[in-house]
Amino acid sequence: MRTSSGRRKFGTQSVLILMFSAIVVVLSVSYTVLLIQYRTRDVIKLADFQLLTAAAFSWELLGHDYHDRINDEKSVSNERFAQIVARNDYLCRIMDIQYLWSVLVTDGDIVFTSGTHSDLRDPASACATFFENHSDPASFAPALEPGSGTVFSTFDNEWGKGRQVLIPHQDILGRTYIFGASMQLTKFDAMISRTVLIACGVGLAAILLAILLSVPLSRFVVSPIKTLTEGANLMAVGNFDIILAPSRIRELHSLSVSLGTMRTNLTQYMDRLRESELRQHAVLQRALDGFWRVSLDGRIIEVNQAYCEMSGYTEEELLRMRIPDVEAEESKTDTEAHMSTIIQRGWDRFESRHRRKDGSFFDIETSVQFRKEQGGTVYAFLHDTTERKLADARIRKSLEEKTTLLKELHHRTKNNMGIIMALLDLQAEELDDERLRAALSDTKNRIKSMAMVHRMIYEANDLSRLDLGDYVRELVNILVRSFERKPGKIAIEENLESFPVLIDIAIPCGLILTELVTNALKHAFPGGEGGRITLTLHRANDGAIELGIADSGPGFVAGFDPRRDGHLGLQTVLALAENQLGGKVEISGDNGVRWLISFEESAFKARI
Amino acid sequence: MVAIRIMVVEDEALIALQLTRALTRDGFDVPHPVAAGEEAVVAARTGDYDVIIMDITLRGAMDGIEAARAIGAFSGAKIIFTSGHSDDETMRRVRDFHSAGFYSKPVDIEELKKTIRRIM
Repeated sequence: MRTSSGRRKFGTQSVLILMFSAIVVVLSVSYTVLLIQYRTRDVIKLADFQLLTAAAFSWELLGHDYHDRINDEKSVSNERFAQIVARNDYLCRIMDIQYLWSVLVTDGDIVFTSGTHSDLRDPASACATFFENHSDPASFAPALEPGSGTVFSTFDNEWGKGRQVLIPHQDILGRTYIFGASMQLTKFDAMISRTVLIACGVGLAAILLAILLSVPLSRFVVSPIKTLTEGANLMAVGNFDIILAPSRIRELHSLSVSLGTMRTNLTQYMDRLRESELRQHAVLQRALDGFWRVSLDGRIIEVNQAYCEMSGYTEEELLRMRIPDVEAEESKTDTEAHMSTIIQRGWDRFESRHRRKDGSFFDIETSVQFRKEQGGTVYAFLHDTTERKLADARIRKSLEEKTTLLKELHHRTKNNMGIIMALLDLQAEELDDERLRAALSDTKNRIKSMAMVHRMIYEANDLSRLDLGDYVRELVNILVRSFERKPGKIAIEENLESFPVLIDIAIPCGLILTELVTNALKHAFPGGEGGRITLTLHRANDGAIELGIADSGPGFVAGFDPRRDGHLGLQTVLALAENQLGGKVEISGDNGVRWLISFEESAFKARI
Repeated sequence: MVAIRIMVVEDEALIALQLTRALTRDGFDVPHPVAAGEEAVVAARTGDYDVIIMDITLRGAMDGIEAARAIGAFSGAKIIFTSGHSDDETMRRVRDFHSAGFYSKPVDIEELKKTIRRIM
């Protein structure tokens, strides 16, 4: 709990007193300086007014033509001069100035034509010194400048600063005569001193008042504001354990109440936030997947227990590490580039491999998201895929083994059929009966058609299907070649579409074709004159397949019904087409024999 | 006219017998077939064969293509391969050898006879 201590209160008060005092002192000094300046200016103005009045009055008293009548220095009688001096003394006394005089400037010389008898304040010594000083024509130089008017000037002498006025005139002879008056300004010193004393007194009173005012100001205004400010600052850094004391000042009290409400709301909000964070932390820690929080320079700043267990590092060790310390697939440069991509894109999902503390590796699938708050952070969820990958590899290997096994099965079946065909060949050699040999040859061809299916399945990538168009084409060519006595006599016309079918369809189709093509080769072209066999294969969009075979021979003999009169071969064809394939058979025997077998592919399902 | 002398190298006895009898019946000189690559090499050194019908998958350490290479080092006999395997690797090896022919099993014997007559 933080409150304003007594020491702090005293400190605030002292600072306030010092501050106010300093301000008052500065103001007082400034006021005093300004006052002295104004007073000095007033004094000079007053002095100038008195001097000007005295000099002008002296001129009026002497008469404007007084100097016109002075032809030389002896033109004024001593008696007259003594009267003038006495009158000037009087004037000086009543007008409170020091000297009053007039001079005539003749040929660069100065002749006093009137004056005072003595310095009224120091009659013993001043008079002689004054006239001695003022006998110097240079001292009247400002008034002798061409066009010069009344000239005021300040001088210094042994009694201090003084002020004088010179009023030049011209007499009728063109000579310059000057009326002057002067006084010591020291007579005003007392007045200025009083002014300074008053100013200092006012200043001291102001300081005292400032000190007296600063105490309640500090106690009732500054300290509460300071306390509220400290409270707000503490709340800003998350410390809500503060006391907000009530204030006697209504506005401050209102502010205190508002801060209190804000504290309550913030405390509740922070409690909820803290609880949410704790829950989130607990979830992350208990998660099966690893979790990282990473700074933009790749430093791990948060990690959960799951990743610690995955990697073998402790949390403390990981919090001192960077991504390249555990990343095993990407180089440091790659990781930096990847991080830039994530920051730019905002998220990513990728597979990688990490290095455990013991040097072993584990596969990781990582899902990352970039958040730009607080300078930018990357959140990563890391799923250990080592077991899954091993399982995938095991499944792949098992599948490959089964595929190899199945291919080998087809291969063996085909080879065994080849051996059966060899046996039939060998057996046929031993027979003298041509019908029996033909029967064995037909059987061999039937087996050959099946063996071809197994060969094509073995050669293809798909172990359950083969291209029916390719199969029909190759099978018919082999059958025709084996029967032809003279190559080229039998023409084959093909209109075969290519599409894959299941082995369950290919084998019956092969057997049907073998029977029908063999029949055509045996019976359609008697006498070896040759002819044409036409093959068609079409699959509709709904999966219906049509297989057609026609020859250019004479057709069935009159009255021949293949269903009724056909031998084993044709019965086999009908059984395979209608029963095994579940199809329909259309037969035409006019102008050549034509078979059209149609069936639904959808009746068959893949078994592997 | 001297008959074309043919060696049948085949580890399936019935297939070998079928080929031997079918070719002999057509006038070819086909001595007793052999079933292993090593036997074929030995027989080729002494038999002066014109054509060798060589199965690729044979019993023993040497397969048909290896036996054919060994025979090719000392004999001018034409080699016709037969095989139940027609995978890419087998076909590549057959092409690399530049044989006189290749027949996938079951062998069409009539076609085989035509090929023999054509190359001789």
